[in-house]
Amino acid sequence: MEQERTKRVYDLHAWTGVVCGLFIYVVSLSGVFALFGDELRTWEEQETRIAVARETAPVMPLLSAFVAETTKKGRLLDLSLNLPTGPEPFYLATALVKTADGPVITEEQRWHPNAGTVLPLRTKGLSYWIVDFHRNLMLDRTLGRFLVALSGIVLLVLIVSGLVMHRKIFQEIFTWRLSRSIRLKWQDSHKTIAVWGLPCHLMFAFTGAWLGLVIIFVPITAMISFKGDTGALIEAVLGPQPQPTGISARMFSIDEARDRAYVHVGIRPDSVSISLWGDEKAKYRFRYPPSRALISHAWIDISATTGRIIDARLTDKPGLTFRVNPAMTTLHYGQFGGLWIKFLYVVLGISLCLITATGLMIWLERRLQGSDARVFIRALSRTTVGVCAGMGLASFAIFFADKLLPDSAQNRISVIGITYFGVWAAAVLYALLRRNEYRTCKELFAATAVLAAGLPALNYIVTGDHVLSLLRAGHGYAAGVDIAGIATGIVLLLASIWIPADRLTRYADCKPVAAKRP
Amino acid sequence: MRLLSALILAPVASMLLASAFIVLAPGDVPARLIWAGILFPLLWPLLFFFSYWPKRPLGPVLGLTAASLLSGAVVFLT
Repeated sequence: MEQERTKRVYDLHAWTGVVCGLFIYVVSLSGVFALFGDELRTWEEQETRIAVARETAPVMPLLSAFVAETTKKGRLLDLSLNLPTGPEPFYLATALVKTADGPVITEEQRWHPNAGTVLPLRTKGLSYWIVDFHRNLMLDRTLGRFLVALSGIVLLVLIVSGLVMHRKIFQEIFTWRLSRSIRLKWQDSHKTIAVWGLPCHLMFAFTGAWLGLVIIFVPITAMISFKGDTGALIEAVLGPQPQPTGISARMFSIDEARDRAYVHVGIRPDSVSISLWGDEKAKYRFRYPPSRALISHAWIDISATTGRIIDARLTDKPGLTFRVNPAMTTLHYGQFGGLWIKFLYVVLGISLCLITATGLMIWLERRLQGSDARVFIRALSRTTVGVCAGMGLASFAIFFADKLLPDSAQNRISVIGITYFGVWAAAVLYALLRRNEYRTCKELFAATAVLAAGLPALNYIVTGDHVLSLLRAGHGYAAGVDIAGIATGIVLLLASIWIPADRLTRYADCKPVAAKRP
Repeated sequence: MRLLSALILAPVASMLLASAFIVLAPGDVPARLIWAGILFPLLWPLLFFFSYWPKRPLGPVLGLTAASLLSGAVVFLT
């Protein structure tokens, strides 16, 4: 490749990385936490630490009463019921209702799986923030998802340009010169981690971009192909939606239908959506989490008036095309292989954060060591450390904010938001005032380690449950959060000890050198 | 010039190319829509990268403009 082109691609890689690197870091690290949005729920809310009995309470009378109450407010548009599972061990009914005044409202009700008593709803908190910050950056859904998708597009550009630019990247896959200059250390780390994680990072970037862009792509394609009729587009993809016959019919018991579905498939369903409640054509669609399959749900349709099994499928239509869409979310969030896949995703997600951070450090190191190291570059270096190390600190701080608030708190999400951005901003400010990136990083890592390792203590003080009692009672997810907190705390503490307190100058080639192109 | 191609022309061209794919590709409409949805996030970074590949900066501008016009014509005239 001609030298001028290499330089151009290098500049594209460097400047795109510098301008968007921190944003990609934020999306990647928030994604690591978002992987465990479901698993966090029983840790977050003590009320839901329930050992589900083999024989659960019948849900049909509860659901019928809920529907009767809900339809007093307006027309029922959609009804679904989440069945008790490990992360969510309770019944949760959700209804979309079009009120007489016009607006569509969401009604929710939870019940204890064994007793059938009402479980009070808790306002959105920790797990909601963690998942929504990664998905939408807590912005409007369309704008937020689009921005997150942009980070995926930029990451794809960075991966392609990085591969084209470093022609010997695969030959140097085992080259990791940690005892040489600081810049070389960053450079080797950046390249080696990037090559080892390449297929997965490409997948994260592409599926992330797709999940975000589909939200703007659907209306645009609807505009082009269906003259703006989004409903026609959805119908073309998903098939015709069932229409009511207008003939009322008595609903078949959902508990009995669930048993029939279980006998037919051999796996317990995790949710059911109910269409056309009370109509002759009413239908239960039981959904299953298919293990080890790249698909979001398998389902079985049962007539809600006769109890007859209508259909059992993996996707709306057969063929590869119709397996692609449902596979995207499953692939992006590692939902296809149990907790071990999620732990692998954590390692890969953190490696993506490291690639971004080392990329920024290479760029900064080159400029910091030049004779023209300006105040702006120094401030940028400190800000980078503050943003990167401070985000972890903020992420663990909100565990404390959520847990220390009473369950009845109505402003939970605001308090979490203020804590998150407050701690993060304080970390950046601290990094700017500390004037030593190494010490800042060391200290912020140590503070994060204390918060992470303190999660079991916090849980014990607030709820009275400790790891062993949680494990004995069968609350594996809540115990898992405590254990993960301790493990993260140890890793961060070791990292904090390992990071030098000051810039190492004992290597000969650490002295200012003229910047060279790779 | 390259920045203009990368930031403005590349997303427009990728959107129009994906839309033209819906119109021209064989198969039933749902399948075409799904593959076009996958094509869009693949085309965008590739066209972004393409903006920095040719020697002359005018090359990507002309290439992306031509692709956009052609795709636009396919979408709106068929």
